[in-house]
Amino acid sequence: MEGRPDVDSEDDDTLMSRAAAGDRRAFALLVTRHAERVRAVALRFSGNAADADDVTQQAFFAAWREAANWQRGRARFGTWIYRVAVNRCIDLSRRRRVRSWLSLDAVAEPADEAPDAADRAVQRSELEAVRRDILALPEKQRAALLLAVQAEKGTAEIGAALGVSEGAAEQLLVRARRTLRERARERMQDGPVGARPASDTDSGGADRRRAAGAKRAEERR
Amino acid sequence: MTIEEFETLLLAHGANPRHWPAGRRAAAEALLAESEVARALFDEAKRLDAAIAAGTAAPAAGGALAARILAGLDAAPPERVFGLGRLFAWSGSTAAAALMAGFLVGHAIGGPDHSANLLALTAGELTEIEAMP
Repeated sequence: MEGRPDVDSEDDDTLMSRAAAGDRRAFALLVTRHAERVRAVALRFSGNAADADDVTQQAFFAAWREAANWQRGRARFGTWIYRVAVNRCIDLSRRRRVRSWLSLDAVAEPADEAPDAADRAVQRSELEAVRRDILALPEKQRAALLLAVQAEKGTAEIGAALGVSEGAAEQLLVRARRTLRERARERMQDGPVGARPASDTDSGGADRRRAAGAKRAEERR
Repeated sequence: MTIEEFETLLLAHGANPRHWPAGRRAAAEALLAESEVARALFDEAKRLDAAIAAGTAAPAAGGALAARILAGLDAAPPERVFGLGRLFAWSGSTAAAALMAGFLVGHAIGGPDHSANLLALTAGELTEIEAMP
């Protein structure tokens, strides 16, 4: 059947080509495909909903401007847009730090959001602790983790988005998760945080962890 | 695969075996089947994954965000400047037209007959003006 091609099934490169010709429907589809996840990464990077909205909008405005110069196959849109967003997050974070240091601006507080399904799954105080730990990660580790978890990117794409090698991206993830794991272990040792599953908080759980540590040391020998 | 390598795998890729690199998955699963320590690390990694997933989950912005982005495009129109390649193509065809015009004018008013060289130059067979006598 002749007529307008079905843009819904077209790949990102084709949609960018259409956007270059001013096709807003094609660009709208790119926004629909990617904006939520880009915003989720920005939100958990910055801890601030307004910043996340701003970063997401600016990233897509950059994509709209870039459309005319987009070269098929040079980069994946689904990686490129995260690279733009993460760079803007990092810029924003650094500007905030300078303003805070100069006492021009209050440090951004994590947004107080309405509880959702995820909040109910993990006790609120533990959830807040995890969010604080993530916000405290170094920028590139935080970005790598969010790209892996929120954007579901593999190490190759994370490397491309952050401008580092795949091996370096893997190391960023290792360091990020190791830090978060250590913080979680410390919280467990300090005492139960909220309603953690009994197996994690009782002395039996601690004993099992100690036993596992001893056995691990034995296996390494 | 050693316990240390398995631990690094979990830290890099999480506890979902589908996310593990294909080249390391079989060895990791074999270790998981035989080592209690590996299973303890795996269980801990699963809990960490759940905590990170919960900690990074974000409420959906819904259609409002997309609408704001699309409404703002007018302030960020696509760049319609010519790319470098297109600029060269344009200048090349313009130069060829100018050469042809020069040839025709020169031919009309007389003078040495460089018509063959001019035609060759226009067609791209000569690349330097010095090639002409």
